[in-house]
Amino acid sequence: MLAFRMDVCHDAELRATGDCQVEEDGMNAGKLLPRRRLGLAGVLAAAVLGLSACGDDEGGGGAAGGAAGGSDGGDGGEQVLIGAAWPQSGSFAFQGEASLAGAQAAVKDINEAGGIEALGGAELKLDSVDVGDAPEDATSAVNRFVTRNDDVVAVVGSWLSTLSLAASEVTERAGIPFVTEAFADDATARQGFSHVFAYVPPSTAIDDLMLEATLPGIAEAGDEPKTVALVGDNTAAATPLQEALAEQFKERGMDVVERQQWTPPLKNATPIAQSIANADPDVVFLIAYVFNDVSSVVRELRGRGYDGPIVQNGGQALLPEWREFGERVEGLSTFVATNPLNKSEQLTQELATEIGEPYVQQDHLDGYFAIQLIAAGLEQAGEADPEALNTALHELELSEGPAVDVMPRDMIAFADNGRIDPPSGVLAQWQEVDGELVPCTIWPTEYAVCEPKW
Amino acid sequence: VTEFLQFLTLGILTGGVYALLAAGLGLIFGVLRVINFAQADFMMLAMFLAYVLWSGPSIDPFVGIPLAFLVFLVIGMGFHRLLLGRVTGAHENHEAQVILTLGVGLILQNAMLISFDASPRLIVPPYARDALDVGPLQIGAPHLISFGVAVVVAIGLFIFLQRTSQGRAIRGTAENWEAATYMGIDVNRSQRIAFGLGIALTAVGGVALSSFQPLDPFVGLDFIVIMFAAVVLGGLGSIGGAFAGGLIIGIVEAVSQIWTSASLSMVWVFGIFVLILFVRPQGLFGKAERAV
Repeated sequence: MLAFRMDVCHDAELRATGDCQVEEDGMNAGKLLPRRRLGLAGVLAAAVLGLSACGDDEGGGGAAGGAAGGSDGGDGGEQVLIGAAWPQSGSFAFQGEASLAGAQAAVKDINEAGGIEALGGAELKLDSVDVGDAPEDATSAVNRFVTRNDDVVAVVGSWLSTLSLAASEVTERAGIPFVTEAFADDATARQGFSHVFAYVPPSTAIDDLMLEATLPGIAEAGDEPKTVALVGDNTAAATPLQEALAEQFKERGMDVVERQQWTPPLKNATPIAQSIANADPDVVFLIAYVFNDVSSVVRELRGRGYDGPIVQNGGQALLPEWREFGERVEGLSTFVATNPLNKSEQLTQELATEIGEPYVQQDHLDGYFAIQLIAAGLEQAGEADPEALNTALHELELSEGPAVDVMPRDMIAFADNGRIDPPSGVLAQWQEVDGELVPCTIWPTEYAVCEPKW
Repeated sequence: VTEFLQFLTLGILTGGVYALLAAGLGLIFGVLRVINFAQADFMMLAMFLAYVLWSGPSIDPFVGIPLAFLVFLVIGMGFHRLLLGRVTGAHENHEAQVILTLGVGLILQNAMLISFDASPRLIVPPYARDALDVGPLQIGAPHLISFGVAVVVAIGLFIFLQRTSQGRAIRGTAENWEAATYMGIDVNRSQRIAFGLGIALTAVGGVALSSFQPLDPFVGLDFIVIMFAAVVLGGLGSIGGAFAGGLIIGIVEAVSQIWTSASLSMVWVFGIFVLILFVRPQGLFGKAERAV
């Protein structure tokens, strides 16, 4: 029976022993990780191929942006060290790389514009800290980084809530501000934590925002939706949101005509798609965070002639791979923390060019925002000291600048709990813009780039 | 009734691909008595080959199947000659086989991660966008073609094993490699060809799968359990059994979703699995076709 116990995340034993990691966020695309196998894989690959999954970055040696060197730059000027604790190896590497690319672009912009003015033009230096794909990897990597670098002023990361929670344990003990895109309520709601700043809505606020972003628009475009299919995976990330949505549908008198859950990975999407197509709902809420799963459901569903609205939650719905569907992807929508907005069109286009992507999406913008936020905090603090920066971030009331431009709000200010209040987000919808398919912001209306097409 | 027929059809078509994936594993176990933990990773490699052919010269996955078959036949035989042959046959070492195949699987995953990164990739041929209406049933064209490929490959494999001298040599090797040696059969060659064929069969399944399933370096992990379950269900060492096992899994997985949630589909699969093994511990065709 060895064959049936190996490395599959829905294996009960792996779940029970905690060897299976599942993203717990509402917005970040989660993926089941067979960690035993991946961990061994990393060791083997490193040994056999001579390539290290972590590389030098964990030690803080990998300058990911800005000039190389310690606190003093090569030209003798002061540098401010920031840790970029995103996954650069493992299954979340491509999301981590996108975040890092956004952060690097922000560092480049800031340094080229003269650095941190309040610090005499000090440049930012970004060191990549590969947190891998497991909490213990994140803990050890960030621990090594802050231990070896006593001049770290802030750490950003770590894309996945579980990784962010682990990394922030280290930074909190070290008294270093941790700026994160973690949706999990625990990211900021832990007793005694005062150095964590989460700039995305908590998971408990997403259902309200999602429905506010979708249902009125769909009703305005035609008939008010009365029937809904609510499908998704049964992970800790997706289930609470599905339950919250089901409750909301009930309160609104909407009939859930199809309710399905699956255990990722979804190997055969056709039966689920067939069930949805047979039910023919007015709208489909597809709450799952594994790209392979959701893309298979959408492919089969569209192939069966369902052309109604499909609404997702999370960045997996923004990946360029969706373009493979051609016009079939049009109308597919997702609720995310941010996306290119009408107030940041030029900035985001330049960012896309700089990064070398057809367009920027949530992960790029998250990285960009986090660094711009820290830069604004440093300007306010007036010194490159973690505690001073922490105080400045708590007191920050930012109403202009690139950090504000890339977020769907007019003011960036953190509540005492380290969250931006009230929570915000955007609805991005795949549309053809200038002959290219892109996920275009359609809500909130004041920041929309495209008109909704329901 | 229509719903049942619809889901039954979906299950049979998907089961055909599972059958192809499992047949390679079954052939390798039947002839070499090797549990190849890297089998699903060779499937993943084949899916990437299909992706490269599609994204580069725009070669349709199904058109690329003959090429994939040949490439992976050579890869499999080369792998056997350079590595696996050192721990099988006269040098049989089961512990080394397990670690070797596990290690190769891990290396393949990470090599592809380094080469292609972890981004998911899709192949969406134009004909794959609309399901075909067959009476009251809706059938995806890639699923239908994949099933056809599975049938053709199964017939071809049967003819090869039954009607050719090399096929008979492989069957003889599977029966008893020591006795086959005394009969003048080049056992090492037979095992090498069987291993290459086993990898090539799974590769064909992988290429067919890529026409409707996204791929990434870890996609093999999603299918390894199905492959092993199909092989054990059909009877270890029985290629026909592996085919049947794959079909049964596909059918149970789909039809169960008429009555219960998709999250329980694998519970149904393994419920049936346990039931069959309770009645026939050797698997459905284990005893009758153990010698291939």
